[in-house]
Amino acid sequence: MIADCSQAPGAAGLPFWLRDIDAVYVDPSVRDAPLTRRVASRLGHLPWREAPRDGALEGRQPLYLKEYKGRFLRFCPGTRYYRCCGYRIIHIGENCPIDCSYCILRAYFQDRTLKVWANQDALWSELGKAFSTNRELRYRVGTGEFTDSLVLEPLTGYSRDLVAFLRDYPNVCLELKSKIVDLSWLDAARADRVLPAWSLNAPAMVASEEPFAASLEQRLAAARECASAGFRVCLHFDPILRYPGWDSPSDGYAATIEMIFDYLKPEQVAYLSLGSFRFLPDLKRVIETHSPQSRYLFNEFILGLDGKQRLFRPLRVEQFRFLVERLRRGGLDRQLYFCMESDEVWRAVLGRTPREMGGLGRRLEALAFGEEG
Amino acid sequence: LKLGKEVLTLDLASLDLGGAWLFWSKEPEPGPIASPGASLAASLEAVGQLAPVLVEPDPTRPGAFLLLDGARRVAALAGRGAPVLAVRVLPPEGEDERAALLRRGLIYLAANRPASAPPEPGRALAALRYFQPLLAPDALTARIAPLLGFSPQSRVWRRHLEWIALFSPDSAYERALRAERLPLDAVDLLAKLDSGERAALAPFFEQARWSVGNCRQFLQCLHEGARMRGERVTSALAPGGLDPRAQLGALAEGLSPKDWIEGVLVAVRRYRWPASGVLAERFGRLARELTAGTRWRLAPGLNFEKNGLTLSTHVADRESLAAAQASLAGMAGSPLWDRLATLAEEDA
Repeated sequence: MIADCSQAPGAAGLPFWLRDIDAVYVDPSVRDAPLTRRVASRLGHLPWREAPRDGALEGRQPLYLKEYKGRFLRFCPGTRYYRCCGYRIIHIGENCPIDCSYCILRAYFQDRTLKVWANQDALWSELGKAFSTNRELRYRVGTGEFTDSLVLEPLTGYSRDLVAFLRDYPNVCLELKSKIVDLSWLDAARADRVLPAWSLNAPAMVASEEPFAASLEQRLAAARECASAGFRVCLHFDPILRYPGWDSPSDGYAATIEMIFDYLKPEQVAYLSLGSFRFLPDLKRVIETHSPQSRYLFNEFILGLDGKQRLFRPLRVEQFRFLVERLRRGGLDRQLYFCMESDEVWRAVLGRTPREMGGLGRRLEALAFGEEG
Repeated sequence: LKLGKEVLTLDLASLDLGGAWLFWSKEPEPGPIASPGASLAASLEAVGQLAPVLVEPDPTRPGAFLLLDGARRVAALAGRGAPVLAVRVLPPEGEDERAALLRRGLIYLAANRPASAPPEPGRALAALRYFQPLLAPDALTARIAPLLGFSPQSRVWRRHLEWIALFSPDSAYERALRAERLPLDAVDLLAKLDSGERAALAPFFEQARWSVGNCRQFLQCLHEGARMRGERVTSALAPGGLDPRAQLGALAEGLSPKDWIEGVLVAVRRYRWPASGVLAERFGRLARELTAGTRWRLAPGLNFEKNGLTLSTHVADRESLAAAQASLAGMAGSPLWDRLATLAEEDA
């Protein structure tokens, strides 16, 4: 044992999606870091070990508090073949315990270890330099690329630290993207520079493919609470899956869209993205092995321009039109954009291309910072 | 293995020839000899029995013996009314029935296993089915796979195990496998279907011989097409669809098996790729119309992801270049260009 965990609450006090964590590993250089002490106060009932040099961690789902030596601020790994939204990633950790069947992280990381970069001093230092070099330069950033932004919040308080740090940088707008509900950071954040965001899917897919995520009602209720507190929220239909019944009014995508307008007014939504399911061959193997009953895995997928499998274009356009028509009916239009789509799809569905809007990155930046754009 | 010191001369009545461990005795003999039984009989006639068979005392019949190896020799000698020369195996004391069955099977396998390559699927499956109830799964792989000439980690060994979990020796599928109409390598895909689906598909393997590639494509298209629609494979086989009896009718009318299989594959590909298949067919029709009489070829943007076309031809010399230019100029005014370049949008 390398930390004093005598005041820890035990597994019963943890949200259910964190109860598989059965060991904590720590790099020696961060054993006294504030984040480590915070985690120790919450996971004291578990065995704590120094991380071995060979990186081989034991346990059902180890949590690894790591000294990260790479770049914390990165570009989103979009490709030049499709239109990317151009946001920047603040890299705070890797992997996710929610275990959605379609998640690319299952193929990327190939184990269940949850990694958290515990050397926050280095993170603050790098971010401080980047964001203060030119205060006129605006950044649209997010932490939800290699992990869920909030899933470890009950243990680490990472997002709370981050929103508090960013209060001094009005040129930065942070998106916190999640599938769970944790609003413990809310009172520390600037409402005009933080965008709480939730991924959405069809009710049938939430039930069968996102077993540890919050229900749609919980996600949208949390979004409404944020909106009531003065925040604008973001919503993401990504991945949109095509399965028998995707267009059903009772548990298909139409039902989710109807639910959105039960909870939110269009003006409370900063932007909403649509992204069709795309995957590398590795992920297909993972899904077939771990989720053999998944109903979306077999469809008319073709090799896209970026080397990933994606749904045949006419079928994507059909689904996008279905969703966009209903979103527009509810009052969402200028906030809609596609994640990784071609101009052909933009024009066919939304009637406009990113270039005609002055560039997707610029457009979203304006929406994020509360301008009409 | 402990053997008795003397060679016994036994009459047939004292020998039990029905031991389950003689699992290959009723299998067709492998190899190029058309009638190995006749060849063995001729040899026994000419020079007599050179190698004694293996026997052990029958624990239930005093004075009688169980045959452990040499069933073909015994059958040939019986035909001549000759006695059988045998060597006695001495079983260990206190051995239980299960251990005795395992030991007898191992003796038979050791005496009969192929010298180099693993046996063909029918023989390997017969051996596996004998040993499976006698050994735990790990032990079955560790002990029997090498004796049969398989690597315990190999895919082909796994395929054999998957097969015996799915099919009985008298099933239609096993008959097709033994007749080499169905490859063992398709078993993982057959395992993804339920028993009703497999039963409905069995007629497809009654006559024509399927290669590994064609068979896998056939099963994969049906399985994935059904999953995509949220239905069972049997729905695709209903009358009006891929009804196997109607399909087999074409074979009965004299269509060659190769052409028949190609026709079946076209149908299952259409089932698996309804939208993209139809669009590709439509593109092909229009492209042939546009390029008729020329050597130009047209292809859509990668899988119809982008609008536009790829135009190609082969030019051998200046003369063919001039011909290609002239034919391209002739095609240039066709309204089909615009349609082909944006064909994916027509479907959307």
